[in-house]
Amino acid sequence: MPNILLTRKCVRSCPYCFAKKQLSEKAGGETLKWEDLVYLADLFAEGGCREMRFLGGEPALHPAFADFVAYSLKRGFSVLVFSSGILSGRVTEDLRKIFDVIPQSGKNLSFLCNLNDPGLAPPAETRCVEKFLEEFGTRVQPGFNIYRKDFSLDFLFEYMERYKMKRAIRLGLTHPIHLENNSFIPVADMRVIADRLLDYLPLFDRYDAVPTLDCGFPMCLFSDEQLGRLYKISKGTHKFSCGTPVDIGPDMSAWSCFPLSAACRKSVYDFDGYGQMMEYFESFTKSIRKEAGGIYAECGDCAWRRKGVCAGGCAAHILRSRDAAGRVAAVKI
Amino acid sequence: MTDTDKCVLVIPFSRPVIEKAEGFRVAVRSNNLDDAGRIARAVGCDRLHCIEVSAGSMAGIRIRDEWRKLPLIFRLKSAGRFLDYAPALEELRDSAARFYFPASPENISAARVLSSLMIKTGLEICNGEVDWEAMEDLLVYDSCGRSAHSSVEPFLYSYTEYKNMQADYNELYLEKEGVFFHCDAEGNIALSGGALERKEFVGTLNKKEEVDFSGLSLAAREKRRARLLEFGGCSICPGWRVCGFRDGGLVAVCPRKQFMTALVNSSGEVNKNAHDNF
Repeated sequence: MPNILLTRKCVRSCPYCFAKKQLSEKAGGETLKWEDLVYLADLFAEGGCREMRFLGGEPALHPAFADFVAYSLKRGFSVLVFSSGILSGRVTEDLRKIFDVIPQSGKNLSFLCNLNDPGLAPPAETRCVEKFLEEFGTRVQPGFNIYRKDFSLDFLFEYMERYKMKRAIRLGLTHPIHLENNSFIPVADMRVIADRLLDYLPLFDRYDAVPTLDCGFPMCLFSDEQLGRLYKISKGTHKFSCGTPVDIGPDMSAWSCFPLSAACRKSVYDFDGYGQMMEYFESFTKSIRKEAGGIYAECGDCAWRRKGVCAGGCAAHILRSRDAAGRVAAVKI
Repeated sequence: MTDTDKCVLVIPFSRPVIEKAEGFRVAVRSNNLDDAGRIARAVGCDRLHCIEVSAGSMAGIRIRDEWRKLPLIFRLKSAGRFLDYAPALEELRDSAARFYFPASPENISAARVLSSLMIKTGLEICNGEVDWEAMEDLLVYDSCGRSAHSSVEPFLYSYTEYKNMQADYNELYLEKEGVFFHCDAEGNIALSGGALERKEFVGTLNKKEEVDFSGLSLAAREKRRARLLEFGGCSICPGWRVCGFRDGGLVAVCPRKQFMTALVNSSGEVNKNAHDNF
């Protein structure tokens, strides 16, 4: 499912930012145009994709953000907004209006809010986010990006309870961005992260919440027993494969997920249709994996990887290996 | 059918004027959408060419159920903010109404947005500055877009009237000389909206039998034909077939030439495709 970057502007400057490469390229100013939104809506609809995912930067900084959301709903798409939750009064008012006047919004509009630990975030940011959650909490799925070993998820459960948020927490491992410097979890630290994560399972259980692991977790981070517990608590929905998300920038360039954005980019206009675009990026990611295996040396012979149960971690780590640049350049799609 | 039968009087909404315009088809102008029902009843469907309503934007326009089949034409300054008119989209879509805006860059975008939502729109390219590149882009969307969308004027007019040598898209703006005669509240008749403003009257509705409508129509047609006989002007422009010659001059400097040529080509393609498909 492609994500659409409405703008490159952001209100936060998270050290792990996945979009760093994109945001730094053309700082500020650039926003998706109405014509392009219509083009994408047509493209998606024709390809049978019924969901619009708005991303940024902070998508709510787009001057026509609420109008874009309303338009997409009116076109029959369900809309998922990836937001920091730091919204201006005007945008909050507009969102309220959408829920009031567009009947489809009740069912089809939701948010995924990547929350930072209030203990580490500036107090003004936390106040803004809490205000957003107070208003729209029931429509928000919390998300958390793990970028340090000593992370804490306690605040998420507290938020979930206080703001009646959706009972599923998206957990993302931070990954290196090809040709950029950002904070991320090195491969060597991943097992510590996995253990710490598993320590929270009783809390997930108590709050009846589901941990949704984002892509990039290799399956072998977890023991069979841990996998069993994860399986039970998530009702068997866990996958360790790579979904190859396609991101589309405000200038209509497309790439296969943020960490790989510098490695392979193409204009949306170069594709004849939605299917062709998705196929192109999928084959790019597959080619990297075929060429370079997974993040561990053992990935090359791993039966689970061969069977497609596990992707072998995030391809962004593969690109960081010493000879990656030459090997990626040699990849033929 | 005589030339008089083809004439349309463009009149303001006033019962005395409607009565005086007896025997003619009329296009009635109003600034109030609530007049629509009264206009339809006063004129009768057989004589009603259209009801033209002027307003600022689409915000707040609600089309009642009983107006759905009326030939409503809205002349708006802009579409306005999407969120403001979004609640009424379904009823706008289900009606026969068409929404016209001046062809500014924002309105060209809005026309595409509305078209993709199956709302009938139109752009007024007869007055003021036009972003021709954006218009051409919209034309590609309208003529080649694979997803379902509603028509945008004057593209639709151009496709359907492509083979008609007398076609002039200014008809959409009630400004085709010799076909549309503009009247004021006193019943004075002029050849165009501009002439009405300048008070250049050709007669009055009180003595309409004295107005030579046929002669005026013929003269307008001759005037149009004469444009095509002047070498170096519109006569050598490939876009002549669909262009309204509104501010035509030397074809080398005509800002409309490129767009009109693209429009004529698209119209040809659309007609060819229609012919090949059926």
